[in-house]
Amino acid sequence: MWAYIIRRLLQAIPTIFGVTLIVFLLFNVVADNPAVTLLGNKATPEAVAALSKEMGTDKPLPVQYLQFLKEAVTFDFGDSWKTNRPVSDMLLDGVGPSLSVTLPAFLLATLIAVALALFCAFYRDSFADRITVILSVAGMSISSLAYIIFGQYFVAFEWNLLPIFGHQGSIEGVVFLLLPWVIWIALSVGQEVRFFRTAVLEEMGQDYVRTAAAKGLGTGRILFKHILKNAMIPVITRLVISIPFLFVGSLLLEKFFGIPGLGDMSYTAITEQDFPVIKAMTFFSAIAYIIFNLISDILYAVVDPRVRLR
Amino acid sequence: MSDASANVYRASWLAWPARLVCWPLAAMYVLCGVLWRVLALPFVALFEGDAAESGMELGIRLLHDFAVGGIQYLGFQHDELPALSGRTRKEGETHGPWWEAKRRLLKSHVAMVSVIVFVAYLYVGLGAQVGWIAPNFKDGQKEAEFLHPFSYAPADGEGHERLYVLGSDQLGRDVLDLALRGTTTALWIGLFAATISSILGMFLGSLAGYFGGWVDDVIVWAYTTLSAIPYLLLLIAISYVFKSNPSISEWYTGTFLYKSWDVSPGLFRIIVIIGLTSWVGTCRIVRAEFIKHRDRDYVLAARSLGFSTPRIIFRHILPNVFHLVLITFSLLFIGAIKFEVILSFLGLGLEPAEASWGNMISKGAGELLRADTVWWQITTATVALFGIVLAINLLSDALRDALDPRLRK
Amino acid sequence: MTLRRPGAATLALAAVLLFVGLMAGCGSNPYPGEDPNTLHVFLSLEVKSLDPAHAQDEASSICILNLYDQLYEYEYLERPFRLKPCIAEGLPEISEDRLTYTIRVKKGIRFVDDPCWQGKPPREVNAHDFVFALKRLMDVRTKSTGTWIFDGKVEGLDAFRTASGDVLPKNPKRDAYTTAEGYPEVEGLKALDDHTIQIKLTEPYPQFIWTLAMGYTSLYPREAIAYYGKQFINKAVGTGAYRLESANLSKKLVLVKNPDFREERYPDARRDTEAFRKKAEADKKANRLEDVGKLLPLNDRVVVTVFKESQPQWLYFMRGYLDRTGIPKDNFDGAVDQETFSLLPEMTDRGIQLDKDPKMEVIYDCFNMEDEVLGTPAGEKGRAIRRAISLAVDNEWAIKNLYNGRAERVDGPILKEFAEYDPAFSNPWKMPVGGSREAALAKARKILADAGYPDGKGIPVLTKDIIDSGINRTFFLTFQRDLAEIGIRVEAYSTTWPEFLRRLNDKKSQIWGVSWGADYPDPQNFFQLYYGPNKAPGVNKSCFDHPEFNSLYEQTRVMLEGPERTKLYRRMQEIVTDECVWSFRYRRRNFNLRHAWLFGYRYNDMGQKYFRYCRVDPEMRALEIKRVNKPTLWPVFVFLAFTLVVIMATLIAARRRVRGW
Repeated sequence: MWAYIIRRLLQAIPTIFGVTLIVFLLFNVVADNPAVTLLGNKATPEAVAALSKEMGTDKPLPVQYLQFLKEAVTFDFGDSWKTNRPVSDMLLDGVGPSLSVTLPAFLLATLIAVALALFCAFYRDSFADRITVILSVAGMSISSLAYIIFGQYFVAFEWNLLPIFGHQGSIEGVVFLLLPWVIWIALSVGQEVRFFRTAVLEEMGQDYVRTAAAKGLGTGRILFKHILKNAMIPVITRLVISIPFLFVGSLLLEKFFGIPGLGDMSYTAITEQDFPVIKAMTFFSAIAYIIFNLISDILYAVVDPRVRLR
Repeated sequence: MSDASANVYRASWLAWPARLVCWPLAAMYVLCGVLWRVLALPFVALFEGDAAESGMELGIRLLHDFAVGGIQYLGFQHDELPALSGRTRKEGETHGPWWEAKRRLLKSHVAMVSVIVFVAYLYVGLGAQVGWIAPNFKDGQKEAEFLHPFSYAPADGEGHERLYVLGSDQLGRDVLDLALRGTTTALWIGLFAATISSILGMFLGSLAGYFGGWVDDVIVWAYTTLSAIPYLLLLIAISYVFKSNPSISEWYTGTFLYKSWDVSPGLFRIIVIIGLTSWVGTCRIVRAEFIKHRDRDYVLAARSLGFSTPRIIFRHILPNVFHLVLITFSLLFIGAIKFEVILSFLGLGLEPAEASWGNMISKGAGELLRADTVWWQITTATVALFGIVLAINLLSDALRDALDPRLRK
Repeated sequence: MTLRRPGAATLALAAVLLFVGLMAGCGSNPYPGEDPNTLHVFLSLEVKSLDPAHAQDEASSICILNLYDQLYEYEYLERPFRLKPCIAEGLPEISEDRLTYTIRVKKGIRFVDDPCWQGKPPREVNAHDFVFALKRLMDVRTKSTGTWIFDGKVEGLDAFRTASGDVLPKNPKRDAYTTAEGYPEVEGLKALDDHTIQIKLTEPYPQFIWTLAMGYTSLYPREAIAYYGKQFINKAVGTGAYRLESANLSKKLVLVKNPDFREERYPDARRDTEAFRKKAEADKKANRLEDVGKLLPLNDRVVVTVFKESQPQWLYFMRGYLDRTGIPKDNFDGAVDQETFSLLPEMTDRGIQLDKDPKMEVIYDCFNMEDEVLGTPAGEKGRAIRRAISLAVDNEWAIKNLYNGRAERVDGPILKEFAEYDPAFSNPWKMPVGGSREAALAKARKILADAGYPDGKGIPVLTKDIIDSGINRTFFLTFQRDLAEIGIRVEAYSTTWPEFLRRLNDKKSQIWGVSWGADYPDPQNFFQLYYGPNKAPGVNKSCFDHPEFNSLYEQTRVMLEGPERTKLYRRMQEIVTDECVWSFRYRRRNFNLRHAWLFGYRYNDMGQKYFRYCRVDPEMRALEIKRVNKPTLWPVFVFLAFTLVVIMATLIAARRRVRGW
């Protein structure tokens, strides 16, 4: 097991290299000199040269790339060019709001989706099942932007049930999160239900289930004791792999609802060419992705004894 | 064997309208097939020497197949599905893997409706591109600002009135025209981005799966790296960088795409960027299949017969994998259209003045909050998007069910 | 079959119900659970920095002015503007030669409590803080945008500034924000003792005192710089009425009352003359005299929300979640009557009031006085053209149609907020108040005819520089149309900002239209733009060079406010308007709306230091908010009903079916 983990971690290193390479190519090579953007209409040649010197963008490309790698290794990306705050502080500040939106919504969506999937599998081909399938597919066919815009418009603006946007760090601040949660759930439940329903139905078509039913076990017992465990494998895998993306937050939700999370922060960083923040964000999300992929593979092996990690 | 099942088989009553709607496409496809064969004649003769048919024989055979195929397409022979390629089934041949799939598709009402809807969108998109549908979508005027649906207003300076069926937007452009023209944009993006992705994914996946070794390692490294960055952020980063780099825009304005086909830089950028970044899914699937197939008997046989590697990959293994690629293609199509909406909202997609559903939805946010709510633009675009995405979702589901070997009786 | 299985479904249902219940219980209040005595204000742009050295953009400036104090501040209600001592003790003592200013600092004013004091109680402000703040402002490494106010004015400060650029900081990462090295002595900027500041100017500069009320000269402790370093832009350690509770510079700032704020009271309006009595009546009508004599700040908390788009801001105001707002362009006709430019009944019925606050600026068309056709080389003829143009432009039409009434007339560089304003003055080369356009046009035609250009014949085609944009082109078209009525032809030269500035410096432009906003309420700020030696590339872009004006300028530049200076200023205004150096067009007005529960708000274009003077009536506000934001609950019930129906239908149907595999 440990050998596997270490080997996977070693294999992760070229991936991280690749990610840094992509970011570097994009922002240091293809993009314009950020000094020009930061200075705006005060961009005289002298000011640009001075600022470039300070930011280190006037050095040759390989040197800049090595600098980037050094920062990645030491986890210190310096200070943001826009707010002058240390990037790590900014990221830590942003994680809270992002997670407060995505984590509860995701858990709730998964819970509802699993419950619905089981319900539909149990009452297969019933009215509820068919409605669920229809609504799921229909739900998947509406643009996420439309969900957010209409959701915000009707629930907050027209019906005055929840604040239109905003964020507060206190316990009363949960009112600002309710609508993003509901919208996230509405957005993703369709897809999740279909996925889980297929997984459960596939399990239900297996031979061992038929055997159990022939043996005389009750439907519910089969469902919960046998099918659920096996159907959980793809569910858990999917769950774990989604976790890194929860940290980054939902960019659109954060923008519309004014939540100061990592998604909004990344978008601002990209459009204002705030390199330290961009580099840090992509680097950490890549690391999170690798780690959680690894965890999900290990969990898979733990849950399914047929799988042997090589 | 096949006769027994043929008696039970009943295609959906909607198969008729579906076939009718697809007729122009089918005709074009057949024509292309014919042309291809005719043009390929000298090359075939070159390679196969005596075994090749003479031009005369080929001509007669093609005419016969064309006629029979046409009759069959219209469904006059119930025991056989139309052979769209114009080639009839010879005695003793078994049905290909697609035969069963097509039967199942034709049986499903949902699939037929989806086909009709999708082809309808296709025609609208083509018509708008050519200028037959909604040719004046760009014409907007100050007096017609934010007209309600079903209102009349002067359309041009001289005061001729016209009906704005779905109202107008801030510039006075007819929302219906915009939505129709938006179909073209969506189709451009969906088709081309998905095609680029699929081809790239297929190509890389087959190489990785077949060769293994360092080729596999490099390709796996490439797609792991790409998937490690959150997709939306990657899109935003690349779009932003390419958009703000003036030399790239300058280069693009010199290409023929821009000059003759009126493909705006934003459209080109979206297609290329989505196409070049979403190949990972296809690649994974194709690679997994190739790994499964490369040790199979038929591949070993082909290799021992001395067939060249490209031929094995593209003519032997790939056709067996293609159905999965098709399903992924449809999902990529939808994904591309949906991402265009998000990118347009963020200002990184098409110019705000262009006609696309993404632009219409993005403007909806501000329009809904006005004192006199303007709801028609965003609703129209959402419904238009919903239509085609739903159709393709249902179609891809039906396709998946149709191609599922386990449901074979 | 049992209803208990699958249990997960019931769980999900319960969660959904809980959700929906929660949602139905909340309202759309974006300030949940807050102190009712909170002021809700807005900013239209992100705050760039809370560091006083960066107080350039409006958003940052507003926050800095309200969180920090300066030596002097504006008398809140008074117009014309007058300064009153804030941290300073009384007005400065000015030496005979007008070069040395001695300012005393009040005793007993403490900084706010902050982590930078590291557990110890905050200390008092002293003279050294001012010296430090000013030196840091001029320090090259601070990269401040406000150095122009003291450039070349204070003895030794320029040398200090140059030297600060040469000194290599010990720790490059912290450069300008460290106090490790301390600043060297500057001869012209000294703290004689803890409570006395001495400033020596290089030449008399009567406007100097106005700069001591700007955000740039706010006082802060060097301990804050040492403690926070670069983070200082996100913090505020001042002596103001508020402490910064939380700051997200791009979204929201929360200020709380400073419990140790010195004793300051809401001022009473001056009523010692007829003019001031009238103004006091206007103030009373505008809810500004309710709280005279009460201790400041009048609220406990301020929530500043940044709105990058205008629609959400308007929405918040209409829902009662903002106490005041500007009027976005899109909503203008829904709020204001297009003819009378007063509020529509649907607004006044709610108690909303409109203030039309003029900006301290002049929008004008400028003539190149060195131009062959219309400048000084053309003598009488040139002057005739300039005067005719000034008469021909239809400012009233532009105010009504292009600005929607959001502009007002300007006669000359002495605006009505200046002490030297003469209400009787009327620009001779503009249509007089209450006059007719036809008369003005006739006068213009006569001038041209007398100068030898009957109906404009003989005048070559003129060129006006414009910055390319839709709105500027619209403005130009109206300019062209106005001039065509007296026979003058003008073409546009469309350009970009950098090129335009270059053309100005090379004196290539003939006519151009710009605005100049006053940096301080002294007409000298405008007169410097006509002073000969300031010719381009200096600020005098029109290159006006009039000997009498120049000598008057030199005289008044060293004079303090008073009747002699007023007389000379008025004469200077006469010269400028008579020569028609500019075609004085108008100045913009901010249309500000405020709710009935907001008391004490007064717009000051020179510095918006108003938070502490504003009081809200929490009950009135809560009532109105409740009235406007009634929640609609039927969709919630519909959703619940739908879910229940589906589940019941399935269970009933399943009961009838044989369930099998």
